[in-house]
Amino acid sequence: MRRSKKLFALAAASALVIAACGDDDGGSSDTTEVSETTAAEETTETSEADEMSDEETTETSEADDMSEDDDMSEDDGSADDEEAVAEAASFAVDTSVCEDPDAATATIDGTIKIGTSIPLSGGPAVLFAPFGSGQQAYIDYYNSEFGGVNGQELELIVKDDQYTADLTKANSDELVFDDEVAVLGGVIGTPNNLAIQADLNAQCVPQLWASTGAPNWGAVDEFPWTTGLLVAYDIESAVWANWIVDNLGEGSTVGLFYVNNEFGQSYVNAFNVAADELGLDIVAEEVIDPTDSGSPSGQMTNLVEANPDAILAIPLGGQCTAFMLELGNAKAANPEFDPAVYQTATCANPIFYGPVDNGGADGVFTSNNLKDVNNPDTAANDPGAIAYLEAFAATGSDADPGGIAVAGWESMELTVYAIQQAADAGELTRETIINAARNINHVSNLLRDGLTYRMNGEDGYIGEGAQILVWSEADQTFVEEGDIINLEGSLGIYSGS
Amino acid sequence: MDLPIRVDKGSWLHWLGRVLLFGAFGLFLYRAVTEWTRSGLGLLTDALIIAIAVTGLNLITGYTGQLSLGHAGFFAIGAFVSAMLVSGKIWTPFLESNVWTPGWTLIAAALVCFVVGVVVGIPALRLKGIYLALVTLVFTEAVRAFFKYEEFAGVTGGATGLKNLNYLPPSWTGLEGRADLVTWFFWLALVILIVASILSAGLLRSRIGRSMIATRDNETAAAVMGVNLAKTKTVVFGISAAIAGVAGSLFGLKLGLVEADIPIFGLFGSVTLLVALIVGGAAQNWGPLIGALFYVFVNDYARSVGEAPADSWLLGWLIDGSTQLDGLGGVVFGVMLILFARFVPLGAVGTLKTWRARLAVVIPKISVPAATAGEPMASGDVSADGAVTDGVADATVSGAAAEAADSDAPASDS
Repeated sequence: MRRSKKLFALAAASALVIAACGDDDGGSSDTTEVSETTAAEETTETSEADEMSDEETTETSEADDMSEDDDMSEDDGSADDEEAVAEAASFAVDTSVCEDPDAATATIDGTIKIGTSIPLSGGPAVLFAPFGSGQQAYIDYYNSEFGGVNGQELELIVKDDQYTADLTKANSDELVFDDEVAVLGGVIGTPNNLAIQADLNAQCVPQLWASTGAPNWGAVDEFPWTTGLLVAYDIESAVWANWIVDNLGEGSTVGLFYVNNEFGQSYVNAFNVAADELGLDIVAEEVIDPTDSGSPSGQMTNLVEANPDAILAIPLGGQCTAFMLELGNAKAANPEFDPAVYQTATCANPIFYGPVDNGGADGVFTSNNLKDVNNPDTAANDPGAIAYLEAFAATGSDADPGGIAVAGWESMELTVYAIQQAADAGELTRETIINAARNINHVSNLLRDGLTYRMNGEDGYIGEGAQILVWSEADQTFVEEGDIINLEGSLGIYSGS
Repeated sequence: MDLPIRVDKGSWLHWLGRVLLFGAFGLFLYRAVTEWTRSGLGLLTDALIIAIAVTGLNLITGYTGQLSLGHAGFFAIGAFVSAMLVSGKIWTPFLESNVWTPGWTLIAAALVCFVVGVVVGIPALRLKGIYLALVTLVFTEAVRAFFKYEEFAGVTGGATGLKNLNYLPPSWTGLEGRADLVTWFFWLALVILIVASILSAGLLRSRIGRSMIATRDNETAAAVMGVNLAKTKTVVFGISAAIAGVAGSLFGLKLGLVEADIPIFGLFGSVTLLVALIVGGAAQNWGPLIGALFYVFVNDYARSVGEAPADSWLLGWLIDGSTQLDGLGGVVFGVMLILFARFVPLGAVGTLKTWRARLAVVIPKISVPAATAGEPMASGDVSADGAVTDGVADATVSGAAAEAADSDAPASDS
């Protein structure tokens, strides 16, 4: 808020950077074209989303959402063109390559079972278990409010994987072969989702809304039955790189602090590409192990020594708080050390920032594509947030609706939305569910105004936009920094491995 | 009829018991393959893979008395070696052959782990007990750090590991594609477990096996009697590591990805293997399998209790339908282990043998004429099952001692 007022320019610049990423199938010219279109559409999308947001306050995830979207786009002057593009890009899965093609196209009768695998025990359970409470709350809400999907009750089966990939695989097998779920939705963790991706794609069981932002989830051609949920890590990294150039100038120095696993590497790889392109100088790289729960004092000492202009911090769970506490201590001890710090969206929750009372969290940047229901203004005035909080309360769940439960709720809303779309299209099968998910065009109550959940055969990523936020220690809340950044469609599809 | 019944080792009655035992195990496997779902068979395969690793650990910890927390490191090395070969990160013959690649990658993993195991065994020459455990634990963590080191990322994958390890069943098996992947790994793990068990049993009957048990029971006495402690420890460390490495290889290939952060490749893995060994029964032939089955299936049940406590028979009567207690699965498993340790202190197999000893006692063939039941054995005599006695003057071949010798369990456990 103090340094940047140019976020619209940033959006376009980010798209150009992303165009240079090797992960996209399309060449750079193709991607630029997409981003230009996106920029042009932004205003229209924002107004559409506003409209929808109002409409959906009382009709969350109603079966008609998709058709409402279509109706609204017809009001737009370029509606015909958009429809033609959408039709050309619409996705249809090939079931002939399935292990059991008949199972993929069989009608799902009776109770619709949804499976998920998340950490309920072990170290990470403290952080992630409320995600499952959010998932369950949405299923309870939908069953009581709408009587399930066209009369078919929804059932969520939650399995505990202790955040380990081998248990996720065992759980996936149990869910598919013993519980006979229709889909898996909202499984947490990059390695966990990778461990089940090949099997689920061979079995043709939809692996919906993997709760990570790794680029792998955009592999429409290789793994069509897998979709991701979070804003792609590539987007975040590119946005922060552009923010640094715009606000601190070319040639600025950057320090990286990241968890040394697939999650951290995904961010760092994307940031390195962007930094290379934009002429940023990475002067320090400090890593932390995913299981490390101590204060990163050694790493912070090295960062202070390097004294970069900006820092990209990619910690995991409780490490978000530990990093900021250490940052506060370092700033207090070294007045000349005052870098602009961005901490990833996976930390964008007051439960991580609130406990930091030594100034380390104040002014730290982050981003989120979901509304901050912890912000008193949002909770009191935003129709979508109000609807969410009321619906959550009505389920009787004792989980904190403002914590990680928000993401769990969102993962199930999107899962049920795809199921509802498939059912409304005529026949509810695994095939129609994944087709509905891959062609999604939806705005949820919790999605920030101006953003849309959209995918198709040429766009493998659902989250390609976010709002930059800054934490205010005095107000104990996030403050919006500039306008929403919408790069919808810019990533294309993933072709790496 | 007077109990316990005395059964001569190798008699028809003894063989009948063995046939019944193996028959029951075979029937269990048959039902698993024909009736269980793919998920159940997958869990059983996981148990077999852990049983292979524990078979290796049993050699060095159970029979040789060297406490190792380094076997997760060997497990990880085996997994990464196979993954690097299968993914073509390092040169390998037969890469395109789905007939030879399976065997080759497993053998390569075993060879590499054997060499590393021998090297790691060197500190064991001077260290014992908790100090050796500490050194081997450091080794495990060093292995993890090595595989995460970015300088080697081109080969090991670094922090992100190696993925998409397609290790489909060879055509000669009659199994096809990913649909039969679990069945393929089940048979592969079963065959390797049988081979590892036969190898382990053969080793114990050999001169080095007798040296192992002597080393475990009393190092000083063993050295005095001419046992080469250095050779015994390092070679057994190597063999033990090789077996654990093959298990790790199977684990990584079955999972389809290897990453240094996978918990079983670290301290958690070492503790898992040790728990399975103790639960099954250290220095028992069937201990690794029973311990691994217990660990995998009881842990799975404990997690299912944590997932839906109200639906479980264990806590369903206590907890209502909507209650969700975070971390409950871990608590349930922990309590089960504590209860197990309290009531089955000799491990499952050791305790079963104690119970069996009340009904029947197997009398081993004694090759030394002087050592007959009830009479003292001379120092250094060969006792039942070929183990060298530690020279205690009043050692006798009573029923209980015969039992102990039959199992090769430490004297204190008998």
